[in-house]
This record gives sequence, structure tokens and C-alpha cells, in this order.
Amino acid sequence: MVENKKEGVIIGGGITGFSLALSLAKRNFRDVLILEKSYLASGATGRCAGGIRQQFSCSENIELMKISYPIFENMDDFVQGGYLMLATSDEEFNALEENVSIQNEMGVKTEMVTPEQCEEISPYLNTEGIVGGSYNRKDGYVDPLNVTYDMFFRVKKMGVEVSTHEEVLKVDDGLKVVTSNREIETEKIFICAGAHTAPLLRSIGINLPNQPIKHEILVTETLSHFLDPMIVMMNEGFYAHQTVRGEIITGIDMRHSPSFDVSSTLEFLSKCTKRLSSVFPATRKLKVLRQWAGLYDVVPDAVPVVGEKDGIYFMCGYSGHGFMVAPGLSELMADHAVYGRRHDLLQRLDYKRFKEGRELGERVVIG
Amino acid sequence: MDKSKVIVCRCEDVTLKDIEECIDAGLTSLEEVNRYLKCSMGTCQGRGCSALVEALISGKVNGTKKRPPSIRPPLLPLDVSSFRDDE
Ligand SMILES: Cc1cc2nc3c(=O)[nH]c(=O)nc-3n(C[C@H](O)[C@H](O)[C@H](O)COP(=O)(O)OP(=O)(O)OC[C@H]3O[C@@H](n4cnc5c(N)ncnc54)[C@H](O)[C@@H]3O)c2cc1C
Ligand code: FES
Repeated sequence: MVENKKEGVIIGGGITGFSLALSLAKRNFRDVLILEKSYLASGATGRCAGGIRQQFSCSENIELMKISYPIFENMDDFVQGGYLMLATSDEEFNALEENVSIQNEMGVKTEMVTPEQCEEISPYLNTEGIVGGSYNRKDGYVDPLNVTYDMFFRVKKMGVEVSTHEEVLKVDDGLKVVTSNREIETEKIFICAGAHTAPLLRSIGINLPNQPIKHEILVTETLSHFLDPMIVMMNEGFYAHQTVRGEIITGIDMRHSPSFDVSSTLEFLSKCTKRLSSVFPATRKLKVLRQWAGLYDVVPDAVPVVGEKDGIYFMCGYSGHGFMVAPGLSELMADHAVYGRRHDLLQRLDYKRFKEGRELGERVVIG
Repeated sequence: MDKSKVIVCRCEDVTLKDIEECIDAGLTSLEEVNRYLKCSMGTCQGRGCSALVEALISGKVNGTKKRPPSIRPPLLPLDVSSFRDDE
């Protein structure tokens, strides 16, 4: 058995693992090993839609995005097409309006729009049945795989070691990491294992309310550019956007029950394509090329969960918006782990909130 | 041979040079190379290039495990309107 020593070990090669490695390395904490049980970005990160938005209802998420958003905005391939969230009932419209007023109070310039304005923003959109929506032109998306792999190249250059196809079997309070082929002693452990974070924490006596829920997604063949914003329908968790490559990426909520299964279903293919073809009639003759699924790591209040116990740190529970919050959250975590400076947000996001009756609440969960 | 002129993935214009550079930079599995360069994500979904990319990787990386990439449905491209009652 190979013995090993490292200053820090990160478990998970997704957006959380890599953005945290980058934040740590920027603070000169570089003697770090990232362990990934499969290939890089094999979890939710490589399966997600890459949407980046500031339209949330919970002030903690809005605050987090104030840190994360500028990181994405500085990326070369960030596409600022906006997010257009659509209501098909007065109830949904009022909820959007409430969210927008919270966002506006916090300095996020989202606006309410009429069906006519929606048509201007997205000319091919079928506005039948749409009461109105909320629109933020600064929202957008990036290719999640490019972002994560570019972070991998960057941290490698900074001296971080990455090992793939090596699974962590156990972490223990003695700051030891047991993997499929060695034991590693370290000073700090960072569990960034997405939906697998909660199970890993059980061995050190932390029980989180997280549940893995399958969410499906599909992609069509490419066509010339016709759609700027990410379109979101509030009633069925339907979303669709067009990438710079020209393909349409789209998903809809299937209300799957908790499980680690990530197989694709025919029911999703049917439901999602029906919806896509009614929202954008022009897509009817377009070919669907591929569908897949990934896990949302879901907590009751849909706000990220963080924590630390005896040198073991963790970040998870992002529901459907973890790709966009992870880089900002990593900055806060790195300040905490390296400088001992604990941002007030980390306190509010702490996992003990569930036991202490400090639950938060996010209404805008998509997909 | 000018490796930047040898096309490996015709759908996505990925060249031999792109693939070798990607492997040298540390992405050493078929899944990673595909996801970074988008080879196999074109209209033919890798039918034209997957075997080639895999051969290039096993030629450069020692001890790569050969295993078929996961097959994603639908097996053949399908119209967005296929499931509509009015079609
Ligand atoms: C269909 C879909 C669409 C989405 N769309 C968006 C979106 O538009 N915008 C957005 O912000 N978010 C979106 N999300 C959510 C987002 O993908 C996740 O919240 C985010 O990627 C989580 O990143 P992560 O790095 O924490 O976890 P993951 O990406 O899941 O990474 C965890 C990694 O840890 C590895 N691992 C697990 N256990 C072990 C172990 N024991 N040992 C070693 N390695 C281990 C896994 O293999 C995995 O690679 C979407 C999710 C899905 C499924
Ligand atoms: S040849 Fe590579 S996807 Fe078609």
C-alpha cells in the first residue's frame, strides 16, 4: 500500500473541487491532491446546462451570485444572452414579481416584462398562454466542461496534483483518506463530491438531509442562431437555450424519486420534446441527438450547505444551481480554510441550520 | 505530416494536433478528450471518429483501460415533434 502525505486533499473532480483548488492555490495553498473516482467532470458538472443567473428569491443565493457572477463574467466564453423566466398564471407572475423586488433591493437589475416584450427578446417564442415574465439581460451561460477542464489545466500548472479513477472509500476524523489503492495523511480534507458528499460524511458522524434526485436533459442538432436567452417556464421546470455551437439544450422536471440512478427515460424524451415543440414551434423538424441525466443534490430549502468539523470541510446541496454558485462559494471556503476568516454567509449556510431551525428558502429551482 | 491538417473528427473539425495536445495537457481518457474537444458530439455522435480517437489515446497513454463509452439514447436522431399527437 502506498503511503502518502499532502497538505490538503480534495474529494471530487467537478466544478466544486476545481474551483476550490483554484481558490486555495491563489492563496498559496498548493500542496493539494484532487481525487476523482471516475473521469474529470463525470458527475453533475459535466451533465449540467451551464446556466448562470442572478434571478433567485433567497437573499443568500443572490449574495453568493454577487461573488460568483463576476468570475464567470470574466471568462472568455461566457455568453451573456440573458434569462427570461415565464409565467403562465397570475400566481406565477406574482411570485416572479416578488423575486424581482428582492433582487432589485439587492442591486440586481432584473425587470418584469410583458408578453409583447418577451416576443421582442425572443422572436421565435410562442407566447400563447404567457402572462409575462422576468428578464435579466446579464444572465447567461458557459460550457461547463470547458470551464472545468480549463480550471484543471490551471491548477495543474500551479502544482496541484490530480488523480482520476481513484475512489475515496472512507474519510476519518484522524484526517486520513482511504482510497481504492492507498491511504493518505493530510491536514485538511475538502469533500466536494456532489450528491456523494452526504454519504461520505456519515462516517464522521454528520448526517445531512440531502437527497440525490435524477434530472434529465437533451441536446438537438445544431442550427443557425435564433435564441439569445435561456427560456424558463415556471410551471413545469422547463428550460431551453441555444449554445454558441448552435445546438439546443433543454430539460424539464420529471419528479423522479430519490436515487443514485442516472439512466435516461423515454418518458422524459417524450415530455420534453413535446414541450420544446410547443414553446418553439420552429424546432419541430429538428433532430434530437442525445439525452442523458445527472443528479441534483437536493436539500429542503434549496440553498447550498457548507460546514467544517475538525479539519474536514464540505460544500454540497446545490440543487439545480450548483455550477454557478460553486466558484463564489469556493472563494469563501478558501478564506476560511487558509486564513481562518469565516465570512458571515458561511455561517448562514452552515449545515447546522437544519437542526437549529434556521432553514432558508429558495423558490426558483429550475429543471 | 502537418498534424493540424489531419482531421480526425469530421463533424467537429477536430485535428490530430488538437487531440495530441489535449492528451499532452493531461486529459487522457476518451471521455475527457471527447468532452473537451467535442469530438463525438457532432451530428454523427462519434460514429465516425470514436474508434480513431480511442486508438490515438491508447497509442500515447500507457495502460488505458479499453471500455466502450456509454451509449446515450436515442440510438438514431429523432424529430423533436415525434411524440406529438398532431404529427
Ligand atoms: C441536468 C442538470 C442540469 C443542471 N443545470 C445547471 C445549470 O444550468 N446551472 C447550474 O448552476 N447548475 C446546474 N446543475 C447543477 C450542477 O450541475 C451541480 O450543482 C454542480 O455541477 C455540482 O458540482 P460538484 O462539483 O459539487 O459536484 P459533481 O459535479 O457531482 O462532482 C462531484 C465529483 O465527485 C466525484 N466523487 C463522488 N464520490 C467520490 C468518491 N468517493 N471518491 C472520489 N470521487 C468521488 C464524482 O465522480 C464527481 O465527479 C444541473 C444539474 C443537472 C443534473
Ligand atoms: S466524426 Fe466526430 S462526431 Fe462525427
